[in-house]
Amino acid sequence: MENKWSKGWLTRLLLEDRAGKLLMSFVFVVTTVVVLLNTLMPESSALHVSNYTVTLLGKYLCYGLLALALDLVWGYCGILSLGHGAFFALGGYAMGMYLMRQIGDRGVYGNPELPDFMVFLNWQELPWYWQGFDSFGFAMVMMALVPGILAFLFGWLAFRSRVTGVYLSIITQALTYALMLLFFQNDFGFGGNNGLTDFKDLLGFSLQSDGTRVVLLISSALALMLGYVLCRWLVSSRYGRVLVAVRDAESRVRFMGYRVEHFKLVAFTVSAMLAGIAGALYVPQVGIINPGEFSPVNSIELVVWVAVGGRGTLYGAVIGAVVVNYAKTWFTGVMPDAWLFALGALFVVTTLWLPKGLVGLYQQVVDFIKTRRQLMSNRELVDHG
Amino acid sequence: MDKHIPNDTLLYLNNVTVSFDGFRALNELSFMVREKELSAIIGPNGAGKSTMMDVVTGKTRPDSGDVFFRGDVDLTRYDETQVANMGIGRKFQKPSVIESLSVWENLELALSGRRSPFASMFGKLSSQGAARIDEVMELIRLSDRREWAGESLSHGQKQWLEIGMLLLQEPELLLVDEPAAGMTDEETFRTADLLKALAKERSVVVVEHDMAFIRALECPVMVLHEGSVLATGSLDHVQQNQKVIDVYLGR
Amino acid sequence: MNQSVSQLIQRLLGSMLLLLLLLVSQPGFSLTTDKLEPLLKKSTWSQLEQVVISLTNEGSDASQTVLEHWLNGRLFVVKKQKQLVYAEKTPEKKYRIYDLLSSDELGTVKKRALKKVRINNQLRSVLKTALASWDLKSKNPDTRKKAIYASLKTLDNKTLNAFHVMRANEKNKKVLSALDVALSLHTFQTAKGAAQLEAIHVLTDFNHPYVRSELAASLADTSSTELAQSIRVALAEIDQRQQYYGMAESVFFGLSLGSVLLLSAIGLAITFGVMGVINMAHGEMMMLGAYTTFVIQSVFPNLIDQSLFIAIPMAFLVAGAAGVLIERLVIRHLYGRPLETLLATFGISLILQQAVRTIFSPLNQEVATPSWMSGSWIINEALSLTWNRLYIVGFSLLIFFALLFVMRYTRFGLNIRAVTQNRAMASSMGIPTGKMDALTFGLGSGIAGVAGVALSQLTNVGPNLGQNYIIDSFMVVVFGGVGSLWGTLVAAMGLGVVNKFLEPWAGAVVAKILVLVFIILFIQKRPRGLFALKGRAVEG
Repeated sequence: MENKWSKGWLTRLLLEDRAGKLLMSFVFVVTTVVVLLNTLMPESSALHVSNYTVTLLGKYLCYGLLALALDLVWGYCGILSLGHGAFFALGGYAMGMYLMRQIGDRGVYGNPELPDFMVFLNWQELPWYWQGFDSFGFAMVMMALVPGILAFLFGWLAFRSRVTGVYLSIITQALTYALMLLFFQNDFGFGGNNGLTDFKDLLGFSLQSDGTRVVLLISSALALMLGYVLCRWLVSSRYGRVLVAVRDAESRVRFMGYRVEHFKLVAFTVSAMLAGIAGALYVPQVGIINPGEFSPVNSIELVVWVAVGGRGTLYGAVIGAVVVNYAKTWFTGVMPDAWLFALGALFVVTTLWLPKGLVGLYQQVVDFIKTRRQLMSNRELVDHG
Repeated sequence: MDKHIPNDTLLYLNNVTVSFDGFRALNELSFMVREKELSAIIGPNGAGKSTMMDVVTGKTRPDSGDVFFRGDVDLTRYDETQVANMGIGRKFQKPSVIESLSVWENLELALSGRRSPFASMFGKLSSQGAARIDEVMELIRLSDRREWAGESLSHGQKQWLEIGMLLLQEPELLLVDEPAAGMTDEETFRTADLLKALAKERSVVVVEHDMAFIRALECPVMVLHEGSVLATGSLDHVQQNQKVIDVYLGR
Repeated sequence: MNQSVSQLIQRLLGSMLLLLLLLVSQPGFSLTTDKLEPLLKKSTWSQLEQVVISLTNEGSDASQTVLEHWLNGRLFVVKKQKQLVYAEKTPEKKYRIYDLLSSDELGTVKKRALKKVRINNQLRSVLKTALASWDLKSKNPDTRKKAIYASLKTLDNKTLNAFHVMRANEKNKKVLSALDVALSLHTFQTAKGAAQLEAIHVLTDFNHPYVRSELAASLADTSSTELAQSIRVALAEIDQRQQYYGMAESVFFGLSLGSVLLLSAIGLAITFGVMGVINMAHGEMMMLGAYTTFVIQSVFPNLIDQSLFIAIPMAFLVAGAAGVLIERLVIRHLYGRPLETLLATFGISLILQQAVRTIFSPLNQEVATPSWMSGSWIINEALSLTWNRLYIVGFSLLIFFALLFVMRYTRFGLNIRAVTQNRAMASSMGIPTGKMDALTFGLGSGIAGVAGVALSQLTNVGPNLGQNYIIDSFMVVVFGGVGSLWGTLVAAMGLGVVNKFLEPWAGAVVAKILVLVFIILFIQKRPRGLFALKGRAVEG
């Protein structure tokens, strides 16, 4: 029998994961169609897609990337991080800092160097940690590097001392909570309560312009697809199988001679960097980043996206993120008070009855229909025979 | 180390004591395992068998005493991963295979080789490796189950898969905790044969309750009680021992 | 509490007596005793002063009221009836008049109908002195003490003489020491040589802030090295004592914060610590308890002082029942899957929060504090502790020990431990394990509800009450060591005190962040907390 693992990784990527490829093609098609309808159709046309939709789709795709990042650690490695929102927010802040520097002297106080809130606080010069963020390249590196370094340090401490399961979940939650309190501080240098906002332009292009919005949507779609390919590559390698083994029987893997903490650390760091990139793409589309993004509730909500979609599948996480957020948009428009009831119920229903999420439900339905058909045809055979 | 230790000693425990909250799980336990030797350890529940394995494999640090491997490697200074990579394999009492991976994937994970995250991302399975996996799969009689998930195997099959995984780690010393638990009689005897065959190339220490299984192993036996050695010798010999009879039957 | 009640009784008796006298002497509600007669007529300033003196000598509470209104310019004569009243200006520039004694409203009149009782600066100071002496003669020692301290800045010979006389007859220790402060301070300010040094010596033992500032101020003026030296010694001693009291205060604030942490964590110590259930809706159980208090106070608005005693058992029942329901409907299906339990209970917490928002309001609710919980316990001039915090420290300890007792010495506690430690064995011994799970969870939730009653006295009662505490309470349980009730106590109090000691130099928020970071790092070092259970049992 020909061994599938002896093939190259590209072959592996292309040959397997039908659902994932389908989803990524779908993302590609939808993005293309939305972009074309937005730019080519006149606004009066019924087929025109509004800027609002463009930005909304861009937001959803960022959420999809964030959910993907969480699924890598939770679905495959069993690390339930309740602090992934922190990495998302840090990426967002890195982008926000670049955008603040881009405002230049167009702020209310007209200071060419200092962002408005620093002038307001009577600061005389830019703090050291704001240096360099006027360069887009530097900021781009920081968007992934800052969350990555934090995740690395935190993970190095936690995994080395074998903090696992709910203990890990609780301290990740404490981490994001501590960061939230910190960023709320005015003198911490990130705009306190208000966060960073009033952005003007990115790489010289106005954030308000239609073209920039479209480009941001395309970037989000690209980031999601590249992120997906990266995660897919990771989980389909032997590395991914070690992750799954760690999830299922951590101590067995240690006795097999694997350094479990290194495997976890790599996954956690990569995941945090992906979350950071998602946050960085998110901020220019919504136009603000504030400490509320660090709120523990955000991180838990993110977990439910992954759970609803179906964890441990990667594509399920992306589907979950989009479905739940679409529902949120719909609810907040139609009956805002019911949204938290619905979200709460979603948590309960998913954990009790949908352990494998929507993806698993689909599989169950398909299997059910197949057996039904099988039964029917058998009966027909019997009837005729 | 003492002079009277034979040159072919692989594992050497001397006066090892471990206590949990005042309870002494191991009480000045001393014994040795020689190269390519099959030996069995029996003892009632709480005699310290699992704790002994924990100490050898680096999971638990002893309060006092020495644990040496291959003469001069002090095992108490290493953790599970390092001990495993030195060539000590451990089979758990509860079969612990990776439930959601297939038989083949389980074996491939265990296959000896570089263990770092990056090596496992970029590494490719060699043809010798693949051949070795097929060979072991044949040995543990799971060739026709290669794509089956671990969770869908029977209890006995899981035990065998785990033994197969251990074999692929190429250990010098194999610690096997109750391999016959939950097996049918036929499986039990086949397992005994397998372990005997394995002991030709490496040392194997079996911890077991099942006397029929121990008998089938035809090897020296050590009786553990309250954390120290109560008696050693052949199975018949220790079964005659009055202290052993008291521990097992008395009270 | 005693003070206010006795004052109330005094005042009531006094006014009743006067009322009686009035009824006998003259019908109607006017106060026209002979002494007050000059006020109704055109009198000379000295006649008016005589009135003050005679009222002062009489010393009744009613006279005091008259003098106070007079001083504040609210004492009027209704021209027509020749009746003394006090009056307030209404927004419509009219005057609302009140009976002098009963404070009953007598109606609103125009300005023209009234004549203000005259007052000038001399009379004002006479009135002030008279009113101050009132407090000095008060039956309440605290009032006397306060009056003495109030006079520190304006010591004159007349008051000093009064103090000397007072000192001879005074029995209350607190008042005596207040007199000593006043007399010594005066000696220090006026005398020279040995007497002055002796005064410094006496003053060293007192904590009144004015004493310290006077000593410090005179240090700059003095030329005598001997005097300067002894002032410095005195100041150093006072400062050291202040520092010590400051420390005691920090410890108290720390214990107070610790008791809040203990209250919020104690129910969790059962559900998470003993049962191993990650209940993210734990905070909402406290919220239910706090809202129960609110509802009880709304239903019985006249029983504010007793409301907490009704609310405590009710909150236990409400939150406990909610807990049993949650356990039976959801958690039961998720045993052995802690991460799923975490998510499901978080969902429940969202639902409960939103339910409270819908039923009550998204805003915070007003929960009243019973009168017996307000005010503070004054230990000395430098140190006073508020009653509500003291009560809550005591209450948290009471709950803790009650719970400890239940777990250790009752059949119920024994069954809980049996089920959580060896389910199969407990079941075979005839303990209904399912029922025990539900009851244990109900107990933990019920205690959270009771904690909510206490929290309603300290923080805002709103839909987010639970969320604000959930992370802290998990931190406490994890830090203390899961499964160890004592660990929870030590962790709560320890973290509370550490937090309060960090606050002065780090600020409240940064102190909290530091504590969080400390716990995160501590868990790396000791993943099973301060009082970890060791051995094989926890490995599984």
